[in-house]
Amino acid sequence: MSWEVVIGLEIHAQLKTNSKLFCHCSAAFGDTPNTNICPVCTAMPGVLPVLNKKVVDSAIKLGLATNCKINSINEFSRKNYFYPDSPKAYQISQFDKPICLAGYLNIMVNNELRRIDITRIHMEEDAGKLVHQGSDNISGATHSLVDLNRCSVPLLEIVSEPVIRSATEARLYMEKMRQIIRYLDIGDGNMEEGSLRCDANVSIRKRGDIKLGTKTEVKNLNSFKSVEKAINLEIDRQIDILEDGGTIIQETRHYNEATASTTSLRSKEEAHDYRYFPDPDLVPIVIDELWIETIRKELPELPEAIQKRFVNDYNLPTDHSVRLTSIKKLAEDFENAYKNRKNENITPLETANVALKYYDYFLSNNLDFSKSNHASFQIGGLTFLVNTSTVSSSTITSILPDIVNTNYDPIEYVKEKGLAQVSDTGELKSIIQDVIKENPGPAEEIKSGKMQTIGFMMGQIMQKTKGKANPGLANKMLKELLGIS
Amino acid sequence: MYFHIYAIHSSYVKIFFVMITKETIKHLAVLSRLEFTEKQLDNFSHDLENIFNYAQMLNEVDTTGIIPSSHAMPLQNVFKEDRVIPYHNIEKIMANAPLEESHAFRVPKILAD
Repeated sequence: MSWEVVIGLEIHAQLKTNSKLFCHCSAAFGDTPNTNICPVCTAMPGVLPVLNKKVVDSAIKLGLATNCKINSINEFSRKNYFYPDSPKAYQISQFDKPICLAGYLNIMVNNELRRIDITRIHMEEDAGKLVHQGSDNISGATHSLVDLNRCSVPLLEIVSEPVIRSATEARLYMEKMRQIIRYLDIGDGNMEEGSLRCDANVSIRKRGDIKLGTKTEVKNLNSFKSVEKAINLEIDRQIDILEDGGTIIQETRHYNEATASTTSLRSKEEAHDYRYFPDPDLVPIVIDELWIETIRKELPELPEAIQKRFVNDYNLPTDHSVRLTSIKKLAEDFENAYKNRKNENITPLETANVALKYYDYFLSNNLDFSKSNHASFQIGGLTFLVNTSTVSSSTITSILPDIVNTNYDPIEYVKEKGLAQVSDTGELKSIIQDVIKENPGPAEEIKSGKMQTIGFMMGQIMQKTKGKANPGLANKMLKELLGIS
Repeated sequence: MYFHIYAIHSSYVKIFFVMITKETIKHLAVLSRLEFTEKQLDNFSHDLENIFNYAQMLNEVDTTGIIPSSHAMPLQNVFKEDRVIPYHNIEKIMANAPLEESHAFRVPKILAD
């Protein structure tokens, strides 16, 4: 039987604001429990929520960056549910008038462009944090502790259409969304800290069927790896059930990263009656064209546009430009490094190669590239060294550990450490002449046509220069001095 | 599904009669984690039905062409600045916790056995 996978993602992105959505409490992560709380976010009677304008600006930004239509009339609604993480017993969210509608993102899957449609993006408040005690998960807990610091921290919920066809596509879409959120600088997109979360609605159907199968909702996906792994597990579980003649139960399943398995959370059929109604404490938000256009002008250049520009303006291979734009800072550092030295006959490709090598060093050593303040300057310097054959590109790799996270000028560094290749023809000439004098036999062999012996002579030259002879130049001069060029 | 609504059409006014059953009250009680006796269920369904049908009076007004409003005042775009102003009476809020542990509200186990 051939099955088709149908996935829709609900992504929750915490916004990078100073204060919460409806009050002046700090929205900071990781503070002592219940220190960023006030009567508004703890639902004391008689309080009045007032909307944080920066949240609306951020939502418009993300909407424009994901090709959405921005709704001019916005309303907040109360989503009623009873749970200890919500002191009001409702979440203030948007229901029938969300801020963004009908957008899309393009992702590349196996070198093919896939368009992932976005149903809507809406603004809402986060819930408090529950810490379960007496067990490492909720089902075994004896009691729980409620921290309301996170309560009412602003979120954008981004709902995709059920058009995602594999776990890999889900991960790629999620990665793309994070990239855009970071380029816009509206959220930090950190899945491990929970500032970017996602729930996956997964169902399968016989290939060719139009009707959707029964879906399950997989929660607790705290890393990109989890997103892919948990969805694949759920797909396999559903296929097993259906192929054994069983039926899928609509339920919420909790992913456990440690055991790499999903377990059913008790199904609560009645829990989905949220009795939404407009929040009478909050006034409508009317977004006019002027507001939208003001935000549009503030939008930074987005990764897809930069990629195209790098390919067109700098003739970079697509692969290079995709990697350079993976984060905004790298794209900027590359471009600045190139521009600052373009009068020195340095090519964009040389700069790109060095920039990627530089960035890969941070990645493979788990270093924070965002704090690398001298990256652009150092990438430029390193490119100059390679371009002028002062050092080989393998030397670059070996000096990176000493210079990254310092303000060292790579050119100065190479000088100080005496790492420059010997390209001075006068100096090289006298060294080669010495080598010939000391090795008359091999020199005669070469003269009489035994070219393999050049390797031996080159070895001697490298030994004398401690590996710093410019190999191309040395080879050429050796042949000249032996009269065989 | 839980509200039985009967409509009587006149020329332009729609008048509804809402019936609140015991099932409706039971459903709302589950959602709100409340428990009622049979007698309370009867009383509440009766009371709520009266309240609803009193409010049905509003349906006598012709609202053709009027945009639904969600707020009592004709206001829009009321915002606050994104600025942190710490609240200095947190202990008063914490005093509402029936049980406190590690500066958090301690609540009973959430999932039933």
